[in-house]
Amino acid sequence: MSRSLVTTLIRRLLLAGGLLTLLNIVFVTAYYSSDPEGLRREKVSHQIDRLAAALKAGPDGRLAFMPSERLAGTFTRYPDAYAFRIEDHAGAVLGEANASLVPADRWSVANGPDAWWSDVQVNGRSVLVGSRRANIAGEPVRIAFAAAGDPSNLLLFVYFDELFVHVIVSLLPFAICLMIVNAVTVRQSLRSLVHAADAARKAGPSHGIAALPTRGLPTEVLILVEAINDALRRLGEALEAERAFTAEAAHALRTPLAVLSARIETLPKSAEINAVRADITALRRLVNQLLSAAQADTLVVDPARQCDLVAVAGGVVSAMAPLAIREGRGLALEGGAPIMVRGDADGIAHALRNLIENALRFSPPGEEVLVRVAEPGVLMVLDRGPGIPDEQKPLVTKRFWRASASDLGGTGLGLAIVQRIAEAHGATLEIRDRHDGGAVIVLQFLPASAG
Amino acid sequence: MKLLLIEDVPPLAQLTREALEAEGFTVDHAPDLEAARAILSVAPPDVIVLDLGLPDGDGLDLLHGLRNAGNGIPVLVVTARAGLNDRIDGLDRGADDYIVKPAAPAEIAARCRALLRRPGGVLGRKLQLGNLAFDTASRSVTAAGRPVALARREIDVLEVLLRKLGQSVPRRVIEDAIYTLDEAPGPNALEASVSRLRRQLAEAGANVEIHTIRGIGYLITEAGGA
Repeated sequence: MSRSLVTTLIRRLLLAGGLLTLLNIVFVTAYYSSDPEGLRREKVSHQIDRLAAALKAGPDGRLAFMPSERLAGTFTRYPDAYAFRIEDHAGAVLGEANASLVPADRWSVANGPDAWWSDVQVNGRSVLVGSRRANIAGEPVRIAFAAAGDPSNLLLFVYFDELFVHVIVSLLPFAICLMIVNAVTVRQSLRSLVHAADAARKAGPSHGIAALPTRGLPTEVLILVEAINDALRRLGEALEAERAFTAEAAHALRTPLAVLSARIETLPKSAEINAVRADITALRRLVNQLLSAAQADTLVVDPARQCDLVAVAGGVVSAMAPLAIREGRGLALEGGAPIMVRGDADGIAHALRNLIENALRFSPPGEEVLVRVAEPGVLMVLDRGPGIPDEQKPLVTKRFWRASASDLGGTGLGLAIVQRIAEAHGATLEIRDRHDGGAVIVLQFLPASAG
Repeated sequence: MKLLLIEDVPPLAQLTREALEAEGFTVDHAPDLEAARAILSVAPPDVIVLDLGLPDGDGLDLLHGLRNAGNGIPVLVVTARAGLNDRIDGLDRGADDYIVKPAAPAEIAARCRALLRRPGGVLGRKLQLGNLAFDTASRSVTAAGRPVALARREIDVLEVLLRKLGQSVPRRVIEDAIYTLDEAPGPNALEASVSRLRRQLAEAGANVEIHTIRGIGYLITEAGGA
């Protein structure tokens, strides 16, 4: 089962984040338990913050103490434990509660330092007093808070507040940031893999086996892609060797065939010799078609190549007309202004030669094979033969396929070669019935401007 | 007609030579480029049949050398290389025609005659097809030995077709050959000339046939195919 790398990363990051949070809690807890005094002072400071927040400028522009119910409740509920006193710069009291908890002289802080701490013994109890100067809405004030014990567990608030500040505030945005950066980085680093995958999908005997692009790939993935490229290179070599063998074998057969062919000519003419000559012609065709098939297999057409379909068809029809007339058939071309298509003129000419040879073979004597070129990039060959039955249409482009065992005139390779050449051009081959009898082979090419 | 056959495979060279001699050619044979160059320097032939893959080099180099030296001798390339791409290579480099190996010697002979039938070629003075003879010097036509009276335009058409015997001749080629620049033939002028020529040749008993290749042009053959 495959799982997205991004999901895996986020999952692990969450796990690591959780562990880190736990560790942090342990650390904060351990830190404060080793420093109870510090924590107590934090508590006082925290309460002063709360008191300061309750000081607001009233409608007359003067500061007024307006505590929330919760804040006020803390003091009414525990008169023996918590007390506060807020004075303005003139020493006037802006607000106070349970002020008797601390001796009056301890509250007298108007000229004291900015912030101070003091442990006071009152009735045998230790009371911590803290005071801070502040400037609220432009008014200098002094806020003092005193605590004897901690019945309301204010310490716990401080503790949670600390946790909040140290864990949630500092870690969470960082963690979210980390996840986003990770997801984006992973996606982006792997984007070049998509290009490599595209190239890999296209690789094949017909498109050539090119190395996958390695540009921009992260080193970790590069190892795999380079290994694949190495394997592709070896496959390409094997394919090339096989193709070369077919081509060389066909090639090597040509000279002995030529010798055989010439030797036959020296024999006295007879019906038998004519039959042998026809056999040699068939063999010659087969050898040529084998070589063509091997070449068509590896034909790669540069998308930038273009040619005029009308000119190509004109050349082929012109060259093959003498053959057609020798065989008692006609050959004609219908086409007008140039039609530019994406493709290689030699390859298209080769495909058309095969189509015309087929059409001539299946046309009765006296009939005309028609080559028609039309917009947009259509090349068709129309004959007056028996046509191709529907059930045979998908079969005729298979290699060495023949309609019947007695059909010895063809090699069974012609349409397969045409099909391959069409594929290499991104063109389609379609077999239709001619409405008044015969077959129509249609090649649809891509216009030269496309892509 | 003197022919230089450049072919390195001994039995093929021997058999082709015999067949070409039977077709009426006088054949010199060179098994490699060195021998070919030697023969070319002492006894220039009328036409060369050139195999490309030779033991001491590529036949195309010889061809290239000849053309660079301004030698226009007709060259028929016999190539075993024919494929989807390299058919045209020989033609680009100055070959007059090419034929794919294995080719029947009769085909080689026919192609050589076609090359020699060009203006200036040894067969270019008297063009012959079936019982039809065309003397390019006197511009007279005979069928079975009897003179055929033809108008100038029809004689011009016949000459172009006969010089390109065995090949389809595009209408543009015929038009370029028979009309001067300031003549503006109507769209059916050539058809009219050809049909007159057909009728007159038939009336004169010439056993030749002018085929129309729709969309391309015309082709002349001996009557009854072949």
